[in-house]
Amino acid sequence: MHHEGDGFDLSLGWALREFVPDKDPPPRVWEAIEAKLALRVYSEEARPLPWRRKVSVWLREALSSVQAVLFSLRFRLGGEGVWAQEQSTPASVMISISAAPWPLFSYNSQIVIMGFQTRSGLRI
Amino acid sequence: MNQDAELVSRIREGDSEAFAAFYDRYKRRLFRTALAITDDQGAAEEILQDCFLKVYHCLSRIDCSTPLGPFLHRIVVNLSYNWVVKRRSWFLSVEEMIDRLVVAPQVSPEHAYERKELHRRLHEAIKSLNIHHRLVVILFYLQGFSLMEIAYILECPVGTVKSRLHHARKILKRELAEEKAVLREAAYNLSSL
Repeated sequence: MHHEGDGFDLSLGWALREFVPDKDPPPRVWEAIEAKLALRVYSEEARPLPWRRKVSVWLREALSSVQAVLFSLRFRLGGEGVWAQEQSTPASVMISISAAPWPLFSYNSQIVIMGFQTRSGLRI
Repeated sequence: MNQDAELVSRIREGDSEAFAAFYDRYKRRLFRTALAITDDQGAAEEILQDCFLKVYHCLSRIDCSTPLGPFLHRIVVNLSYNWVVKRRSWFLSVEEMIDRLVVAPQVSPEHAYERKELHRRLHEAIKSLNIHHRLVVILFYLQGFSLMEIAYILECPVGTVKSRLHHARKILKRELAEEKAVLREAAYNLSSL
């Protein structure tokens, strides 16, 4: 021990070592590891997400869609865009666009506006 | 090449026996730490399982130039900490703990009582510590890690470890003030049985 100790430290160390069982884990632990590795079912992604993470993922997805539409509006409507032009276009939008599977890019501007209104009304 | 590095290298090549050997090498110590933090056999088993699965999945990032004990403990301590925080529970109730305490047949009734009483007081004293103090106490007193190693495991500065250890020690000394003599005597008597 690198801590400056006395009899109390020695006794405490002894007591902890005495009372916390020092034993092998049951074989079922290794069997479970082997089984999971064999089935390759274990992965961080496959595990259920905690609710905070779920909300975060949901929000990110929702926002990235809206951002993609805003960018699309700005791109399509250009100087004639009404409110779309006033929206900020953060750097993350570029990433959102490549990541978000947003089908409305190929539609005309009117549908895009409707799509945005519907989505934002429902999800944000 | 040290034994850990050799095993990890073999595991990376897909040698399942090497992974089993690696598990055998560390399972007992890691299980004990998980058990000390959670005091729940089921949780400790699950934590051990998760620890080795995590290790398996991050093999490429393992640095074998340093001992792997602290690295593995970092994973176990994190998993145990999450479990404790989630469950907001610590050691078993006093009743459960007493039930669990099996007295070896060669121990005299006086020693048995002494041992039981000491365990109870120690349990209460450790229970009075917050989780950060408990972790430091377990890693330092039970596993014998150095302050530097604990700082690595807990991902905090050495000064923080020193301070936590100092406070934990102070609290335990106060809580076990009446037991100090018993503790010393018991340590001497029981270890000589």
